[in-house]
Amino acid sequence: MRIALAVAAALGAILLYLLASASANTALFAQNYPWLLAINGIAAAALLVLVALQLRQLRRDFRAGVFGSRLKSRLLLMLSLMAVLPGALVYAVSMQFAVSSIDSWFDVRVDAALEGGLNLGRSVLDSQQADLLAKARGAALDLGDATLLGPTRLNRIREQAGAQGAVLLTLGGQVLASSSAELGNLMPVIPAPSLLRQARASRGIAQTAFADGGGLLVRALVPVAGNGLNADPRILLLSKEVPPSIVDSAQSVESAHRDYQELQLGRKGLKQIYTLTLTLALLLALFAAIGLAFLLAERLARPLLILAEGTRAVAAGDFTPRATVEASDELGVLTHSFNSMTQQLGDARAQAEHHRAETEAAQAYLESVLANLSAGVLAFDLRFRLRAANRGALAILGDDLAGFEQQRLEDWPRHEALAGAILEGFAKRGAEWQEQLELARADGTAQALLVRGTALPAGGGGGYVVVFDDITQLIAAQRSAAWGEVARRLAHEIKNPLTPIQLSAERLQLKLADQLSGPSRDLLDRATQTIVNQVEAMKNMVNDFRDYARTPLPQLAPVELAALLDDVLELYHRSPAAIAVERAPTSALPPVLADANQLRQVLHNVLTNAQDALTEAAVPKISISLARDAGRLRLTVRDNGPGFPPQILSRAFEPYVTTKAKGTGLGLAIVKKIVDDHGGQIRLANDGGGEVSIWLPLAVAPAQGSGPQGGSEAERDAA
Amino acid sequence: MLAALLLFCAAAAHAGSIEPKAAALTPGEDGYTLSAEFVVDLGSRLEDAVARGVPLYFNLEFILERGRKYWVNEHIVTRGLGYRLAYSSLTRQFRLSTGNLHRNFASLGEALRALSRIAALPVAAKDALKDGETYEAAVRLSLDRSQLPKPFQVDAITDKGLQVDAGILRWRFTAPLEAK
Repeated sequence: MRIALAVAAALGAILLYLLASASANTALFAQNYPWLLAINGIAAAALLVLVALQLRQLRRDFRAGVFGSRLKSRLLLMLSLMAVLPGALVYAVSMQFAVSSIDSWFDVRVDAALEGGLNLGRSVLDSQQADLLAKARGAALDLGDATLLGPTRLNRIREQAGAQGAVLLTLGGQVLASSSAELGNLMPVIPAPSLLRQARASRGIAQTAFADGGGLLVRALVPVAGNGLNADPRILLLSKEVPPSIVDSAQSVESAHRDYQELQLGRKGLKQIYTLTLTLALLLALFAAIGLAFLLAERLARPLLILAEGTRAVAAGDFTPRATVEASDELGVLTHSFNSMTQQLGDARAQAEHHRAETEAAQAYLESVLANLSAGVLAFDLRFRLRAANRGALAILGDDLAGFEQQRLEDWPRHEALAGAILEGFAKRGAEWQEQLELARADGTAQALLVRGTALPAGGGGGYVVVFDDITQLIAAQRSAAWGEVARRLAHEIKNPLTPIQLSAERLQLKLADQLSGPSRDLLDRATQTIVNQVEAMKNMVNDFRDYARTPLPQLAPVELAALLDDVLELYHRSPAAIAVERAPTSALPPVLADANQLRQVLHNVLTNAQDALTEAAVPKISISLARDAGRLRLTVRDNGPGFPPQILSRAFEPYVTTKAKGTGLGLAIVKKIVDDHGGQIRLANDGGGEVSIWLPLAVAPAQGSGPQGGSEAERDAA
Repeated sequence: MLAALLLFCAAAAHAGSIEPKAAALTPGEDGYTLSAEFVVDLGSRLEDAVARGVPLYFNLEFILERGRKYWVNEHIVTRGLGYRLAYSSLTRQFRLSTGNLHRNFASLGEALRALSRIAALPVAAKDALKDGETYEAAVRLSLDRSQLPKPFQVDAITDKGLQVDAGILRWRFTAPLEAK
């Protein structure tokens, strides 16, 4: 396109030069003028087509919203205006000038002067003719008288008339006599017969003719009257050269007149020539200029487009370097500096990105630490609205705390005790405090929380953080440990004197039985028996304590719980309570991982407890169920007795907590200890009687581990 | 674009014409001579131009060819003759020139009549044509537009009044058998 444009423009320029040369009346181009015009027109049309093609392309780009087409259009418009306006101005002025100057050539006065000059020449010739005619007539009269006509006579006549030639002719054009001033030119020019006849009829005519040498000749033809009636009529022809000076002047006037007439006739054509030439020049120049404007616009717009594209890319986040313009001007510098700027920006952003990633990683780490913290963390803003709560807090509180973010702490719909303690702590005990709380769970069990409150420094935005731990288990374990220690010591301290007491009592009986008789002897027997029995009971109790304190670690092995249960139940055949065993589902249950002896102990304790609870029941009944529950095995022993009193429920696993008059309160404590040592779980509930549920791990670890399921079960049971 | 503009401006003046009326080849002593007659009508604008002194040039073209079967015609003879018709306003005479030969006429009509009658113009030598052979001849008298003044040339592109249609007369000519 570019090359085609350049070629067309160059061709147009050459053609235009030729056209201008031809217009300036160079003979070489005069004949080919129409062709030149046509070729120029074709060149202009070709340029127009090229420009139109480019315009259409630009317009299509503009419509399609191709980036940069607007800038190019504007540049093109401006450049074109710069070309078109002066061009049109020059064109208008030239047209006006040319056309009016052509018109100014044709002046009435010039016309009249030329006409006058021509008339002057004609009248000079006319007077010459008249003069010659008069002389010829005189000579003819003279000749008419003479009967004989000799050359000398004719010569004399010629000389008298001042003519160069004299010829006497017949009407038929036959030369009778001839006389010439020039010796070389003996043969005179014979006029046409019609002219001779005309001369005879009109008593002589005069005319101007062209001489052979290029000059003018004045001729007079006069009839010569004959002597006799039958004499042939004759014609006298006198010819005289018009003086060369007159001829030259007259001919120059004539040629000027002719040129003038020619111009006047060709006025329209002349105007057309000028108009065409000028218009073609204008069109060629304009189209070439617009074509050039395209190239310039593209050239000018390119660096700007690169820059604009670069800014767009930067805005979109692309910092790769752009192409630069290899120019030493400001635009080149601009593109270079733009590139370095984008590079710096890219570096800065990469750095910022890096920092952000680091911060995010740190934050994520902190968050995961916080989330996996078993302690509950609650964060509050300055007005005690909840900002964040970790997973531990939700687990401890047994609540998802949904919607608590919008409420202030004092308006919490649940956990009012905790809320109150937090508010009170911050209000009364300052920025840092610690407190142990006893709370009631939703299911009525007690929950011990260790709550620590800290006010955040004002620099970080302020607020409060409350960290709390569920220390219920901890307290229970502490109690249990304390009791274990006490039991161990008691056992040790008490057991030592028991044997001597028993031995002493038996010895007393042995020694004194023979010495006493009657009632005294009965008393002795009763008393010693009582001592021995009580010591025995005490020994058992101490052994229980020792056992509790010294429960060995379980030797874990797969145990068929159902078989074990059957085995144990053998001993309870004589139990007054009907014992029903449910196994659901009926399919074979997998073995559990447990110590069979300890498990036996557990079963005995639980069954004894149930049996003891049923002493006053009308229809005592114990039901046992075995079921698989989420990867563990659940054993539930239920009786229809009075159930656990509420105050006992939360502390039933502590030693010496009992409802029985004679119990040591160690039964459930031992059960709890053993179950805990097995990694199992135990829960007590009241469900139309006492209910004990024990979960034990399976011998084969299940494919998918799951969290403790006892909670939901307990809740369902409690309900 | 410009041409279209000019076409609209074209004057309605009628175009002139030069129509051949009759033409004949005559064997003579030295060779064949052409005689022809044309009807010359220059049209009002060209007549006006001549009367104002603008010289007009005419070309007489004569072509003689021998027809051949299955092949282009054999070219025998081309004869061209240029005429110049001019008006001398000084002497008030029309002048018809052919080469060095000048003829003067008092009126344009006489001059045109002289132009339209061509008599005994030698065109071919005796032995250029074979006896008894048939030839194709064509003759045309036309206005030479390229010799018009330049403004007229531009005008003549569109102006019918400055155009002269020239007709061509073709005829078959059989060379007579020479009586020996």
